[in-house]
Amino acid sequence: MTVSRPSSDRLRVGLDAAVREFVREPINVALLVVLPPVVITSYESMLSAFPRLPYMTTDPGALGATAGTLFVAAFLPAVIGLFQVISAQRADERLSLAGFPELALFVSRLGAVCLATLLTAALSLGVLATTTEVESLALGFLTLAFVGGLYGLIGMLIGTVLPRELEGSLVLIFVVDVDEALASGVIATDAAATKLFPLHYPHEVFQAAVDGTAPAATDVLAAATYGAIVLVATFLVYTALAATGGGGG
Amino acid sequence: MTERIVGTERPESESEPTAGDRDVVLRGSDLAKTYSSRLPFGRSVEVLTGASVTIRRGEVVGIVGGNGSGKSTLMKILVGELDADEGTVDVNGRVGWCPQDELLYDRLTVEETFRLFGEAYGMDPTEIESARDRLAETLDFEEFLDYRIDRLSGGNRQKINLSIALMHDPDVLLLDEPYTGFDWETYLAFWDLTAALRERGTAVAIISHLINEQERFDRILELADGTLTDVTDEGSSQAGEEGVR
Amino acid sequence: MSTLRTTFEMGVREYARTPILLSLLAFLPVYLILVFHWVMPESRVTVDIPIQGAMSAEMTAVATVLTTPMAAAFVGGAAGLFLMQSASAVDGRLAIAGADAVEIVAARGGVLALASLVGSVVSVGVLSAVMSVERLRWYLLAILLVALLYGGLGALVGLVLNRLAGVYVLLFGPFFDLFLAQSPLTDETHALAPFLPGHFPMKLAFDAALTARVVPRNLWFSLAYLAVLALVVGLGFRRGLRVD
Repeated sequence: MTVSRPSSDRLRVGLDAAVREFVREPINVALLVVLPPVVITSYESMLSAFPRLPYMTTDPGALGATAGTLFVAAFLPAVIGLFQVISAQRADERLSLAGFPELALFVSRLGAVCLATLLTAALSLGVLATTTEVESLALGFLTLAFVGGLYGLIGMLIGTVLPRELEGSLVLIFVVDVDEALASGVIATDAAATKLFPLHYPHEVFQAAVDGTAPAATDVLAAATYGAIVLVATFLVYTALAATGGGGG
Repeated sequence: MTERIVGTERPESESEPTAGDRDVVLRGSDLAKTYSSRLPFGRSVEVLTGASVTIRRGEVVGIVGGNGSGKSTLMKILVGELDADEGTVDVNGRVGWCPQDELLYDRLTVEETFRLFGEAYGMDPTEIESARDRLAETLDFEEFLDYRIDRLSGGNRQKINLSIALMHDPDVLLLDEPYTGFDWETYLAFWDLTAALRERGTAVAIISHLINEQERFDRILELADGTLTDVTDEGSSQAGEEGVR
Repeated sequence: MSTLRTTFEMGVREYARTPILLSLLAFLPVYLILVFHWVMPESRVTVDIPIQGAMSAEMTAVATVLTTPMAAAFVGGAAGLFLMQSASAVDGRLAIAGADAVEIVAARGGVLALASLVGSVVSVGVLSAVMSVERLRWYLLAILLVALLYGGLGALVGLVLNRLAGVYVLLFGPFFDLFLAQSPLTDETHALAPFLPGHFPMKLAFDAALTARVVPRNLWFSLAYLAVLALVVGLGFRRGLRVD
């Protein structure tokens, strides 16, 4: 595998192409815009029907809104990452053969996911802020952007390993929904295994941002480490599998 | 919605068919088709603006036209896969269609593909087997009968794509870029097959963006600006380097 | 009728030949159900069971009973979204060749039903390995209904929108419906809950899992919902065999 330093021109072209591909399907753009308010208000409404269980730190409706915000910020980029990689697999192989460096390909794909992440994070936080007082907007936004990037990478990783829409989607759905249920606030568990799930630490940090308390340093560090591991793993797997055919400088 | 008349049904108001009409296996009249965008400011593309075509028994017709001229759209309308905005299609016999995209089930074997489409055509198992073996021998894919479609080379997939269109002995065969991926031997075998079909009275219409051997065709029609023009004698504006001779 | 049988047979063969898919169908429900079974605390919780009212139950049992239909819904939903859609262009060619459109639709529906059955059996099999339920056959039936309903929903979303949108729906929909709206942990039923696909099957599932009695009316309502959904999807798919 040849990993060469990508030129900024190639990156720009690659990113531009990836973004255009996505936005030229109007339904994709519509979903990015419509889903955040729908999901967040629905979660708030649904959780309001739950009693305030002993382990709930605030009323269930507020918990639902917070959880819904986190989920929509995370899961939309996950799907985008998955489908970006799968739909572009052959084209990316061809680009790689044409001399587009694997790193540039990876960054282009990730860049498109990150753009969607930033948009979704901003929209989600904006919707949440209309019903819930978010004490630290900056930390909240950063956390949402982080989970979007994290799950975007997970989507890309799944799409690289399982480059078929049905299989890749099945895995993503199961991975996401286990994480979703554990982080929903409806369930209380201190099982160590739950710490292995992507949203565990970011959920704590985001709750701290909403509450206006300082996030635990261990939570921030653990989340950052988790993100770094997923980033490196996705990059290595992507360049090994998705962009084969060598690469040039 | 395309008005589609199949068989010899004809409105009472129309006069008795002439001898020429009885030879007609497929007629498309004043076909119009526009692809509209779903978005308010999206682009609409007018592809056909009153195209008419008549295909008679035993003739080989070439349909040429530039990229994006509407050839595949025309064929899809004639076959019934697409509805025209205006116009009628009369079909008098069985139609065989070989689309440009290989519309095959990737994970079925060649044998299973024949069985499935043979069922659809209303053939019994013996007929299906006979057609499959005959075409496998003619187009040389006998050794691949147990292979999955997605495990075949592009050329072999195209052979299966063509064979599915032929297996039920159609009265008119509509082929969209049929020799894509063919090696030279298969290309020649294809034309031998076409000659045999013609002798049997089967009409063959072939879409190609370029036709180099005009003598193989009885007529050549050019699709340009949404309509068809007979260019058999005049030559085509879409002629390649050697032209339509 | 033989076209229906052949089309169904070929549909099954198509997907049975993907070892990765079959492995995922076996593994993923195991993953989901067992994760919840293992991480739940060994405590008791008060739940509201339709036929019985409030009762105390083990949290692990509640979580397992709740996540089993989710697993089946994901499998059914993904099958509906992808299986129905992936072959539609080729199915169009089959229809032009002379196959009856209704038979093609029925065959595809049959494959979807089979995928839902597999997902349901695997999911209930996993549950049975870690706990026992009072009325297993009724519980399996309830799970199958959930899988079929979400299969139909997946197919409908795929017809109306696209696969990306369909996956979004599957990410949020079953969780929202089955885990939240139909949860027995709630104080009161959410206003939307009766209209969601999981409502009647989940009532049946909880009754069958945690009590010795079931209310057949939940089965009839589930079947009625399924019949309407199947009709809408069938008509939509048949229409989709012709492109415009």
